[in-house]
Amino acid sequence: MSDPILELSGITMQFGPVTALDDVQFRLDRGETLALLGDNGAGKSTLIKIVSGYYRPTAGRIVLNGRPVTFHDPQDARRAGIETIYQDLALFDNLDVAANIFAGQERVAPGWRRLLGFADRRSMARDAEAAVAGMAVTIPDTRRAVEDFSGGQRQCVAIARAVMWGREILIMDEPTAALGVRETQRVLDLIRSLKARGMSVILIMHNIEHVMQVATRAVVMRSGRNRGEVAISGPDDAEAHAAIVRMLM
Amino acid sequence: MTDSSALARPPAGLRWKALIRQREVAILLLILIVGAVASVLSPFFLTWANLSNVLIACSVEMIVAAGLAIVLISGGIDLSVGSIMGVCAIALAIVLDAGAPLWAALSVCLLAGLAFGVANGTLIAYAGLNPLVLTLATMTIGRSVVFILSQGYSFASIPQGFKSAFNATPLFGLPNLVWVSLGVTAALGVLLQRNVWFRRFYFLGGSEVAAIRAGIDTRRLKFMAYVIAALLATLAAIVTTARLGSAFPNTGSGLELRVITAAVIGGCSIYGGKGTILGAALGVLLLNLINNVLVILSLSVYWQGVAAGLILILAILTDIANRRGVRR
Ligand SMILES: Nc1ncnc2c1ncn2[C@@H]1O[C@H](COP(=O)(O)OP(=O)(O)O)[C@@H](O)[C@H]1O
Ligand SMILES: [Mg+2]
Repeated sequence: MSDPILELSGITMQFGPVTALDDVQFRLDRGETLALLGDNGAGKSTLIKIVSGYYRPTAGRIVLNGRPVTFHDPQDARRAGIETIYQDLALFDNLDVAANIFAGQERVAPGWRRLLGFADRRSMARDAEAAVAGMAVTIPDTRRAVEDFSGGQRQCVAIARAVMWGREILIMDEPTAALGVRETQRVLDLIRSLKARGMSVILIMHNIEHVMQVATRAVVMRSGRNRGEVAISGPDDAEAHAAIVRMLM
Repeated sequence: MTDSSALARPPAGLRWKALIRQREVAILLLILIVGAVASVLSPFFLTWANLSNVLIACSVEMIVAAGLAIVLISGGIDLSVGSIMGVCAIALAIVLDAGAPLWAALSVCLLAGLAFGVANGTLIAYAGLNPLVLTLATMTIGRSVVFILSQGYSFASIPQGFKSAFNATPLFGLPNLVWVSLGVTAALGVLLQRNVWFRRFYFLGGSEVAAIRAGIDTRRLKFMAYVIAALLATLAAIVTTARLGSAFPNTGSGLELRVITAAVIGGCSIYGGKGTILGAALGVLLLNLINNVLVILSLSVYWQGVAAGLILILAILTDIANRRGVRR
């Protein structure tokens, strides 16, 4: 039944004398939305950073799509299809949606403009427009600099960028942390819509209500170890809710 | 100001309002207003002789401003461009004075400029030094080198052929140096908006962290910004030496601050990521126009600094006002 896209086994991470992760097992199934929970210092960020190529584990194996992999840097992980969206989102505030989505890999225009290395601004604008058009958060004008966007709209741009570049695994660190009530709902809708796109998502989230609304499974960590996990059948799954609370205690 | 960021276009619904908010348009309007007032007050203002004088006066600063715009957009600053101009001008003139051929003098001049650009770029991009402090140091060193080389003297033995190459007036009575300046400025202006490599300066200036995550080699890009600025200062030195027929120990002195003022008035943000070469060039034009108007109205040119400073303050205030208007 489970169809793992990513599997970590026996992951240990040592920072000098500090053991941040101790023999952790972790599995992400294809197309699932997984919530990663745990107290401060439980090791969530460290685990995510290993998956996104920032750290190399002291010990353990990473298997992606059935093949063992080693990430030397974040670019490595990104090339393998894993995109991490951090709280600061790493957007270019001064630029519009298209520039943000195509940053670093802008298309060169055809014909004589190729000789001058001119960017194909029209086709990038068109594709950027299309990329955000299908999202739960609406962006009225994609030609504006994103500095004027709301928190949800900024999430939308960051996600559109990951989708555009064909990432299969999306990791989001506290995507609803800095948002108001309405924006939070929109972003939760946005996350739910990623499932429809077939993306596999890891969410670091503290708010159990939010977890219940979007996640299909919750994994709880404590002091650098696996605490447990529970499948979530829907927002009203009281049993799962209770199990998560119990594991967090 | 959202709209001075060149890679983001004005919002669809509000084009007209956005147009006026766009810094380049605002400066152009200001230039037209200053010009209209001046032409009413003085019949001499709208003569071709006067206007071409303004353009000639702008030429050298426009070349330097193009380089400075790139540095500012990339998120840096370069205070050394005036001193680099001085070193290059004196180097050019001294080598010519020693009787060497023009190509040798130009090579020495180019190497001197390149050396400063590479030094600035390496120390800022690769050694991580603060650009304000580092270019303050190279500015000081450069001016000192000028005096060491020249011993305080000017050098005027510039070959006639070299002078006339820049001063000849084949088109519309404007000297070639104006065309060189306009051509270089326009070409770089277009490249910075369109060319995928040059556009990266906007990414770098917008967010260095995001640029690194997007796989951009930010260090090399930063390095190149200072090299480009230095090479343009070198070109400015060549042009000004040809124009004046001499190189002086104070060639380019104080120019960096005038050009930075013009670039910021024209919409370049000192925080990076925003502005255009067109805006910087229009800023240079506006300041020179004000200078010209003060002269032809027989007012004291000493007021030029007051005018430039006030416009600079106005520019920053409109930035803040626009930002408030846009944010909800
Ligand atoms: N770079 C680091 N150097 C030393 N210790 C670290 C480092 N990163 C994390 N830790 C330690 O590892 C443990 C897990 O931290 P972290 O992964 O940030 O937890 P969480 O994200 O769940 O709050 C903590 O005890 C933390 O102090
Ligand atoms: Mg954390």
